[in-house]
This record gives sequence, C-alpha cells and structure tokens, in this order.
Amino acid sequence: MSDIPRATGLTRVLRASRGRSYPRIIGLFRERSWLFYDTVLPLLGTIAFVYVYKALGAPDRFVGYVIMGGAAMGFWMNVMWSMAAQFYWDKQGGNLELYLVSPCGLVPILLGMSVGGFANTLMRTVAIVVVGAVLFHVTYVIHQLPVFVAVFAVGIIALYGLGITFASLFLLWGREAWHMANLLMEPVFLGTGFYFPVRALGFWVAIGTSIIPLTLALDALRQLLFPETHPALLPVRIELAILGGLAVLFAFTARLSLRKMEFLARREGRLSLRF
Amino acid sequence: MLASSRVSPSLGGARHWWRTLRVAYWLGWQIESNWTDPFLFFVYSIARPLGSVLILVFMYYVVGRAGAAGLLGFFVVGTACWPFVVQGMMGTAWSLISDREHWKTLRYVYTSPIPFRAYLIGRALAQSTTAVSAAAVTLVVGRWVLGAPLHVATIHFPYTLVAFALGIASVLALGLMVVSAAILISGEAWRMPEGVGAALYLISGAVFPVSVLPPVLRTLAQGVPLTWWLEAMRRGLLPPGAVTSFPQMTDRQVLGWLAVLAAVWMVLAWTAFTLAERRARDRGVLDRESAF
Amino acid sequence: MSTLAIETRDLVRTYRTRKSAQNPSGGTVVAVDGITLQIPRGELFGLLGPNGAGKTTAIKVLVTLLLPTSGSARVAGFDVARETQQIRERISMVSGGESSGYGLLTVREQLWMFSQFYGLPSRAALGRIDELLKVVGLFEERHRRVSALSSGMRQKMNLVRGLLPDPEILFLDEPTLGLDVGAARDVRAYIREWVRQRPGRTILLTTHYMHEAEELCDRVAIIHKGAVVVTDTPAALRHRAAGGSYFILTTSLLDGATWLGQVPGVQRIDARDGDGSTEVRLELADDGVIAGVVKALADRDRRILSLRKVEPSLEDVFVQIVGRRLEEADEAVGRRE
Repeated sequence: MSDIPRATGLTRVLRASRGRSYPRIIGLFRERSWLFYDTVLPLLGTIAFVYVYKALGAPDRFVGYVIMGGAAMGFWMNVMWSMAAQFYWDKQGGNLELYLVSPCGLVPILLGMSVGGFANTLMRTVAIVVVGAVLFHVTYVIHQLPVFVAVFAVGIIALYGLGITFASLFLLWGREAWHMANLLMEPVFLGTGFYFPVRALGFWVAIGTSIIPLTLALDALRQLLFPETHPALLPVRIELAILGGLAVLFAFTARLSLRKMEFLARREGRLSLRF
Repeated sequence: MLASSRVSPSLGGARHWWRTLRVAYWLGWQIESNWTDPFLFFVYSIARPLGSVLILVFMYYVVGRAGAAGLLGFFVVGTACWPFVVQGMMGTAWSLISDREHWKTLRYVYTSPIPFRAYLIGRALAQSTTAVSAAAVTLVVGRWVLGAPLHVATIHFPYTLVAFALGIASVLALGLMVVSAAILISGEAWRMPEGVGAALYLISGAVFPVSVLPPVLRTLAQGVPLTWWLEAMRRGLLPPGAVTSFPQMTDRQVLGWLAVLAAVWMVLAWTAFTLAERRARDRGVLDRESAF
Repeated sequence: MSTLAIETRDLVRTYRTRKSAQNPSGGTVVAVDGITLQIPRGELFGLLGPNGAGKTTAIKVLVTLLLPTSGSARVAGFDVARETQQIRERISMVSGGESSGYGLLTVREQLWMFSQFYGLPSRAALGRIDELLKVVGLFEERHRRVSALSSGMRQKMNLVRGLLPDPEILFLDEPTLGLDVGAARDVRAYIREWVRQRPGRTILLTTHYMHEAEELCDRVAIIHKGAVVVTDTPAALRHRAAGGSYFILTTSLLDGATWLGQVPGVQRIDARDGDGSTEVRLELADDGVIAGVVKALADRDRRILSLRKVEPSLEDVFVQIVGRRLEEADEAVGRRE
C-alpha cells in the first residue's frame, strides 16, 4: 500500500467533497465573466418579466415575485446544467471513469459538486436580488427569519438531492441528456410558479408540481415575505414538513439511482464506447 | 451530391452565391433536422414554446386587471415569433462556433473558394426553418386553446408575409452581426449569442409593449428592427384595436420603419463582418478553439 | 495476500450494439473472448495488440468499470464483480489521450483535487505532486492552467495523477498514445524507474507499439480479436519467431536464387529482385552457414552489395502468429469500423 497514509471513512468523504467543490468555487474568481453571463443575463430575462407585470398594471409586490423567481431560477439552472448534466459532461471529458475507479466513490464527489455549485449560485442569486431591489425599489421584509432560513435550507437540500438523482438518470439516458435538461426549462418555470403564485395553476396541479422542491420552497418564502397578500398553496409549516420529506425522499432516490446507474453502466458498458 | 461540380467564379457571382447558399442550407438542415425526432419535436416545438406562453398567460390571469385582455394576443404572437430570433440569430452564431469547435470544419469551409457570407446565410436560413413548427404550434394553441384573437378573417396576409420576409432579413442581419463578434472571441463565444438574445428579449417588445420601458430603453428599442418586426407581425395577425407597442403609428409606417431598419442593419452587419473577418485573420483567431 | 496481482479465467466481455440503419437488428460484439492470465506481483506485464483487439475492454473490466459477461477476474486477490471497493483502494489507471480534468484549474490544483479522492492529506499530497512533477519534467508548468497544456504535457500530468496514490497495481492503457517521440521516451523512462524503485508494484500496460512492449515489459501477451494468442517474455517470443535470427543479403541481380537453398545449413530462403539487385532473406541453421553462402555467390561471380544479421522483433512474432503486420491489423480494424 501507499507510503503516504490515506484517510478513510468520513475524513475521506470530506476531503473528496472539498476537492470536487474546489473547481466550482475557484471558478468564481478565475472566470470573472460569470458576473456578466450569470448575473446580468438572467437579470435581463427577469427584468423582461417585471415589465410584463408593469404592462399588465400589476401591483408592486409582483415585481418582488419576479425577482424571487429570477433568483430561484439560478438554483434550478445550476441543478440542471451543473449537476444533472454534469456526469454526462464528465463522461465526455473522461473524468467519470476516473471518479468511478477512485476509492471514495461517487457520493462525496456529488456532494462536492453540490456544495461548490450552491456556493457559486448563492453569490449570483444575491447579486440578482440586490440589483433587482436597487433597480425596482423592491423591499423585502422577512417575517419569521428562522423559518425562512429553514425553508431555504431544506428546500436547497431537497433540490440538490433531486439534482443528484437526475445526474444518474441523465447519464443513463445518454445523448438525450442535453435535450432532457432543455425540456425541464420553461415547463418547470411554469409548473413551479417562478413568476406568479403557484396557486394560480389550481390546487391539485400545484400539489402535483410540488414534487419539484422549488414549488413549495418559493411558495413558503413568498408567504414569509408577503404574508398579507400572497395566495398560499399550503401553510408554511406544512410546506416545510413536505420539503423535509422531499429531502429524505430524494436522498434515498439519489442513492438508489447512483447504484443502479453504476451497475447498469458496468453491465452494459455505457461509460465508454472504446474497446 | 449537391456540390459535385464547382462553379467557376467567372460564371457569375449570383449563381455562385446561390449554389453556396443552397449547399449551406442543405448542410444546416442535415445537422438541425433531428428535431423531426418525436421526442425532440416535443421538447423544442411544443413543451418549451408553450411553457413560455403559458407563463405569460398565468401572469396575465393572476393580475386579472380590466383592460389587460388585449395582451393575450400580444403574448401569443410574440412567443410564436421569438423562436425565429433564437434559431436564426443565436443559431447562426452557434453554427459558426460548432463548425469551429465541435465539427472542426471552419478552417476548411473558410478556405474553400465559396462566398463565406452565403455559407453563413444558408446555415442561418436552415436554422430559421426549424423554428417554423414551434411558431405554428404556438399560434394554433394560442388560437384554439387559449382563445387569442387570431381569426382568418382579420389576418392581413400580404402585410404579414412582407413583414415576415423583412423580419427574417433582420434576423439574418443580426445573426451576421453576432457572428462578427463570435469570430473574434473563443472562450465565451458559446454564451455571447445568448446574452445578445436576452438583451433583445428585453428591449424589442417580445412579451410586452415597449411603451412600458423607461425612455432610454424605449429609444434603444426603436433602433432595433426586431421591435418593428414583432409590431408588424402583431398588426398583420391580430385584429384592429389589439394592444401594440406604437399605437400612434399606422400599419404602413410600421412596415416602412421595418424595411428601412432591416436595410440599415444589413449594411451594418455586412460592414461589421468584413471588419471582423479582417481582424480575425490579422490576429490569427479565425479557427482558434477555446479548449474549454 | 494473493501472490497474483491479476488473475483472469476465461474472461469474456460482449457489447450489445445499437440498432441503426446499417445494422437494423443490432448485434453483439465480442470484445474480450476468453482471456486467461496470471500476473504475479511485481511484474510489468504488457497486453500487445492492434486497435480493437480488446485490450482496453480487458483493462476496463479489471479496473471495475465493466462487469465481465462470463468468466472471472481477480485484482489484488479480489473479485472484480463483487469486491470493487477493495480493488479501487489498491489501483490506479491512466489512459492515453485522455482529456480529463478541468481546464480552469492549474496542473497542481488538478492533481491535488484527485489526491483528495484518495484521502491523501493535502500537505503530503502537494509535496508528492511537486516531487513527481519534477521527475516527469513538468514542475515549471505547475501553475499553468490545464487548458493551456500541450497533449504531451497533459499526458505527463495524467501519469502523475495515476502515480499519486502510489497504487499497488497501476493500469496504463496506451500511455504514450499520440505523444511525440521525446515525450513518449520520457513517459517510458519514468514508468521503468517507478517499477525499479518500488519492487512489488505491478503494472499492466496495454500498447500497440511493439518497441514499447519490448522495452518495458517483463512479459507480454499478444491479444488478437479478443483472445490471447501467446504469452511469454519478449526475449522468448523473439526466439520463437521464425527460428531466431536471420540474414538480409543484397547482391547483384541473381535471376533466380533457388540454387542458394542447396547450400548446406540454409533452412529457408526468400528472394526479391529489385532494380539491378536482389534482396535475399536467409534463415540458417547457425551463423557459420553464412560463409558457405558467401562462397557460393563468389563462385557464380555475384557481387555482395550488403549483408546484415537481423534479430527477430516482436513484430516478427506478431506477423508469424496473426498472419499480418500490426499496422495492417490496425487498418483492417479501421476499415471494419
């Protein structure tokens, strides 16, 4: 065995996660163009929807809705393009094989991707909220800050669990991954109510789209920001509880789909085409 | 084989142009026509455009203000036309970038004895063609499911056709402009067209009348042919009295402005491409890959 | 602990191919067809064969990326199908022409990231990275971004990545593929040095470069169409080839050389007439027989233009076993693909 002592167990999981999160975090400082492409561009799209509300003569709180939706969109884009589709890119680039044969396994690598992606997106999201607030004079008064933080945290955990599940599925779907990610853009923006209260979809439809954690997370956060005017789908505490359930569910499906993906990939040779 | 015999430049520029355009269109179609796959057709021609229009429809319903009813047709026509911008303008730039980075054919195409602009325009037209189905699906669903006021009796067909042709010319001009920038950059070339598209989405009245924009952006919007194209398409497709961006102008004036701006932008794009091409050759970046 | 680093028994791996216009029913490709190998610890073992022979698939099974279709394989004494974790703790893999990694990281950062997947402490890992980068001549480039590396530099970096966890068994899949002569020589030199310094470490190397296998490997298996056709040391294989060494003789035009075969001790003769000269390939019972051949030529007034003794190479072994040269076999695979 190696002459350098290797950590195992939790220490290795933490080291591996830190290693994999590093490129995502350092990328923030090294590729400054993200400021333009990941903050200004989404903001342009978000502002377009602000003006839609203005054209419709909507009250000012709808502007806040749109800004929140634009901020949440950053997380969804990150989960789709940098988590779900990441194994597919990694397969193309030759990284996936190396990840699979490394002794730490895929879970810490995915955790690292999630942490790096979250940190990266959080900065962008804050930038969008701040710029949006400055441009459109939106004020946010958070009622019940601890609940707000809990909803955000549990929602993010559930969301990244979903991203990890998708990472395995996208890899199994192979060349269709790019198209699958595209499919989950506008229809998801619609189903989760990024730009309007999700209740407008109808109660049961909204309950159905709540399988995507952002639906309930956004609804709960909007209730906490606009308690008097927001048409709630469910009470905040129930939404928080369901989000907790989704987090557990997606942690389970993520683990299951990873195992299944690895088994199928090894059995059918889907990780490589060269022989 | 479409290009099996080479036409000598002496046979005439127009014929040479036409042949290159045709081959480039054929090539673009071969690359892009995978959207006829049922799954891809569903993703790009049904789910995404309808998702976009339904977001606007629900925004419209949650506000539920009187007087906003006319905006439904506005949303539907804007959303139906936008895929032409995405495919025709952004797609053209992506064609160039994928030729350079993915297929690695740019250097060979560029050094072959063809008019390169004809090649780019052919690829752009092929890209634009793929937007037809998304536009058609959006209009059909907009009319029969959402109840947008698109009635055959009130559609002004000749006006709409002229507006559409001028609009596609404008999209091609914008595409050539974006290609001029893409030819000079590598690392961020993939995302740059998306940036231009997002900016145009905001200022060209794609989903709301430009009259609600602040004065500076409104002035900017008036200099972009897409604003006039979308306005003309709405005037051609929707009945009189529908919400428009420039209610004080007549239909003829809108079409006139569209024609003038389309011509101006084509000249600008031509010049920009000539300068960019020269600069790219000077800097040796014409076929540079980004290595990302 | 098993004395064998790698052991396979009747290992078979097939792929199902997708249905396509050219292949409407799909089909099955046999990539590895009943390979049996026993590689003791401490050996540098080579799998030699043309493209498409099944070398890479065999490696992928051994490094736990693929399940065997039938047969069995054990690495470091563990079963590749069931005991993947134990195997992954002990191995490392480097493939030729791989483009793994993240372009925005520097060489040092990239290698540090991979060291973390093996649980190495950062300080020790960075020390080792610097040490290895010096050895492969990449230390000066340690702060350069991966996206800015040449293919040779990239391959050296990949080699360092493979060596970083100091694996018990190192799998090198065409490690010098696409490298220029200098870079390939450096990589081979370091592989030799690594094995020399660490007795007990095992390397399984796949290559389709004959000289690489000859230069590096303790033993070589020639693999063709998914099956191992022969396994031995390079020297023993050379000795087997066409009865050992042979002579190439160029003379003034002979107009028929069968009479040379009458010289006592000449076992086989191949002659080819060229422009004013004849090239003769002679296999002799022993080297002394050449004196009789020279005398016979002098007796017939034939001038000897050149004479050289040729030691057989692995190429000759390959030709004898497979029936064609390695490049021809590669081309045949290329045409099939």
